[in-house]
Amino acid sequence: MKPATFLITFINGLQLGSVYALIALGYTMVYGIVKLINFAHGDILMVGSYVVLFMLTTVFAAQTLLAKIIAVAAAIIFCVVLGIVIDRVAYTPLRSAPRISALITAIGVSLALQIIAQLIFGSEQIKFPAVIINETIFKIGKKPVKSLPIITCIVSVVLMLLLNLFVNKTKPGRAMRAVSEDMGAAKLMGINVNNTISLTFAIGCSLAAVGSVFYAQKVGYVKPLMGSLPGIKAFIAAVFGGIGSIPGAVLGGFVIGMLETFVNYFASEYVDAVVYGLLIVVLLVRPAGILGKPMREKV
Amino acid sequence: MVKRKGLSSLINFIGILVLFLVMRSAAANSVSMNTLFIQIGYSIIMAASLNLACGYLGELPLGHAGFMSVGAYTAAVLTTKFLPQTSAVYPLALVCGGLMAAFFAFLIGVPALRLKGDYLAIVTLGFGEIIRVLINTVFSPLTDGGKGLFGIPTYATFTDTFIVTVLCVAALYMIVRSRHGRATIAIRENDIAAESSGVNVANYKIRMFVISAFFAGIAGGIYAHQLGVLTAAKFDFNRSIDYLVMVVFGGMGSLTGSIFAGSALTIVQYLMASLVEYRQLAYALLLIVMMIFRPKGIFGRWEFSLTRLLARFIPALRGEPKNIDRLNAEAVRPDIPVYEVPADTPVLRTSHLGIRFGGLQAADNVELSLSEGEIVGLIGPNGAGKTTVFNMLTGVYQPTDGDIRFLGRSIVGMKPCEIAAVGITRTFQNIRLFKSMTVLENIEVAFQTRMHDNLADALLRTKRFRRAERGARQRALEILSVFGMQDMADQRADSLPYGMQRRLEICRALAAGPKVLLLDEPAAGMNPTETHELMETIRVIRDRFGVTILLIEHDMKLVMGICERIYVLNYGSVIAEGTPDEIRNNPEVITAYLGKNNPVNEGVGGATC
Repeated sequence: MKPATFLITFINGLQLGSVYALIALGYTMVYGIVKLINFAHGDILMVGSYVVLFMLTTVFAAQTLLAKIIAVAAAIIFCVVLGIVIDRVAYTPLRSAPRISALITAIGVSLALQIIAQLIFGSEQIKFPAVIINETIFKIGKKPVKSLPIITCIVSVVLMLLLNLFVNKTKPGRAMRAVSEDMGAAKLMGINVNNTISLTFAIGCSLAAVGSVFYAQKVGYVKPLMGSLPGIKAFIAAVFGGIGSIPGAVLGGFVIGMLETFVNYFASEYVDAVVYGLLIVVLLVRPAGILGKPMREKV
Repeated sequence: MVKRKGLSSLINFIGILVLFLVMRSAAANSVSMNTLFIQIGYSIIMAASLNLACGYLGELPLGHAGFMSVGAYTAAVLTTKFLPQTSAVYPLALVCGGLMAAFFAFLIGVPALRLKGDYLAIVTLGFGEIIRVLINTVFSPLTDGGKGLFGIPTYATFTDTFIVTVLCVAALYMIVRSRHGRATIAIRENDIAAESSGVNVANYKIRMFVISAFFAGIAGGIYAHQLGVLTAAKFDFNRSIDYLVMVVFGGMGSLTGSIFAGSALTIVQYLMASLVEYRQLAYALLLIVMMIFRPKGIFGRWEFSLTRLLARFIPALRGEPKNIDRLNAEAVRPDIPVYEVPADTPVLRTSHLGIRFGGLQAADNVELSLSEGEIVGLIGPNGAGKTTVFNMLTGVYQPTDGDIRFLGRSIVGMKPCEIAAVGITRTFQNIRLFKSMTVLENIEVAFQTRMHDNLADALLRTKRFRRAERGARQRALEILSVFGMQDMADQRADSLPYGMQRRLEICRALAAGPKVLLLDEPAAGMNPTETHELMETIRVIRDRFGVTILLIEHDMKLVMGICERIYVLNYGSVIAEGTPDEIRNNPEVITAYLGKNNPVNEGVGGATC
């Protein structure tokens, strides 16, 4: 591998990693608070990119900067509302049910979103318009470094820092941490648990919506099943970092993104096998993930 | 109860034969019917086998289609490339497919089943994805990779599919309705209690997971030999979900449900073949709606019984078997172990026992000694480390310091199920019953290490199996009658009143045939009358079952009333030991309970009552 190729691959890895990290945050926050693997989270990503597509092709005639901003905002709002509705309709009634029931419901929601998208937009992939400027900024050797990966990384890192501030320094953030530690005690302390959970879903989904723009533009198309693969990868990232841990999700996202990009360079057909293999190894060696805390059941 | 033993088998056989003849006449003149029936056959096997892992064991495998693909490819590669071209090899190929799937399940299960619930789901999902990649890459010399395996002989016929399906479902039923099935369900209900009752949880999880995969592999073989073509892409996540939907819809924990849902949903699939999207949407909504409004599925855990149905209408079928006395006499009861207590050796003794959780020394230098037949109390303020000591004695926690000797032999490092087998059992502070099982079954689970019939006995319903089952039932009823609970034998455990649930836990702990019984707050939540009865019961247990009892209790009347000696624990260390009178007047104990300079000077017993 030449140094130039290495650098470009590295940047691509960072790009994919930041998208995974954005999605993984949604998984990890929801898991941290309601102990549910929200299988539908990857499909929120899909929904987000369809909203952007719909706004830019059907609602607006010209893809002006303003139109793009409105489209992305619409995607965020739509995903946030969708996330909250899903939680209230499908997950809230199962809060005290066995975890397996909630997990099966989440799988059902995921399938439902995919199929609804298929019924509305068809199952073929549709070209995704350029939302973010993707010009060559400079060149390493003969290889161009484009602006999309750089913007993706910067925006993602800024969002993650903001999220970190929010969770650790604000009142709602403190409520979120309290609910995830002990839902019952948080309720007794006057925290509105359901609203806090909704807020968590809202944040997770808004991050996924932002991620959807980056992801869809990177792959260049949208299709109903596009969310499951990055969704599962991001979930693996969350588990890798330690599910429930916000820094863990970011770390995991970058590790998985980087790993995938490099494996892809050498032997593309093995990408999925390597990523799943890594997941299995991590779970076996350190079930709580790299930055997660092991939990012990009280007897 | 049916009048004669063989009658039930005969009725079932006739029932299945009639079903076969009806279906065969329907399939005889119609290729599409034939195809549909074969699809129903392997779908039922898939659903029923997934139900074993999902409904009975309580795990959520999301890669069941992966095991199906292993079985399908193994069988198909064998018949296409290696075995002679005759349908006589078909059964062999199916079994090989099942074995290969079981082998993969073992590889993936040994590490993965150490993880709890959600993670297992993800690992199996990962397996389902990896296996597709492997089929298309590493194994492609055999599987012909991405272009697909063609020219598989289409051996699958209606008749053999029907037979295989019946055999598979019957085998699963035999497994579920045996002590192995009870152990499996107990794990689903409460794994910690199952382990402490002598069930080797890790072993059973693996076993059931492997068996589940074995049948999925067989179903895969049928699939391959019906279609004649295989591509790895057919065995994707959605296929795993299809089978999960069947299990959930029919009822997690009901094979009847799996048979029903396997048939019904396959027919739906067949009818809606051109409307794939709508079918999947319906599936998705079905999953959500079922989970919210009827999480137990259509049949819950109910099983259909032809004999029971007929007996309802034909009184002649009802009643006890004629030869009931002989059967009872022949029953083989679970062993009651005989313990040799060496002279001058305490039954149980700890030395320098301690455990550290991170920076917290939860127990330190605990020295306990129990002599044969004693009733000893372990008291102390909340958080003193009493339950932690129990957890170390029963292997739930591994001590970081010191030694535990049971009948002179060290038990440190043993698993909880091994300690139960050796002769120490316990109850739990927060009741841990197998809630959805009956009172009787709760007790029968604890015979696990005292019964000798194996899985093959259960599958073939041998004499050994039937005698052991009858014996287990007899002994369980005897234990219940000591507590006056024999009339509740067939009630669900969680339907009992609180005090009875505590008693049932004691029964279960006794059923394992222990030498030492550890009771963790047996009187918690009981009213004074119940507590008084309990004191009597504890003495009776000691005398009738010959056990030595160590009990944790906050009710001082009980402790002072029945304990011959008492240990007082505070901040993880023993601060006092002695007879109830000595403890009552020990100044250190009074300080531990009431604090220093307390004007109350009546002693512990008086103060708390």
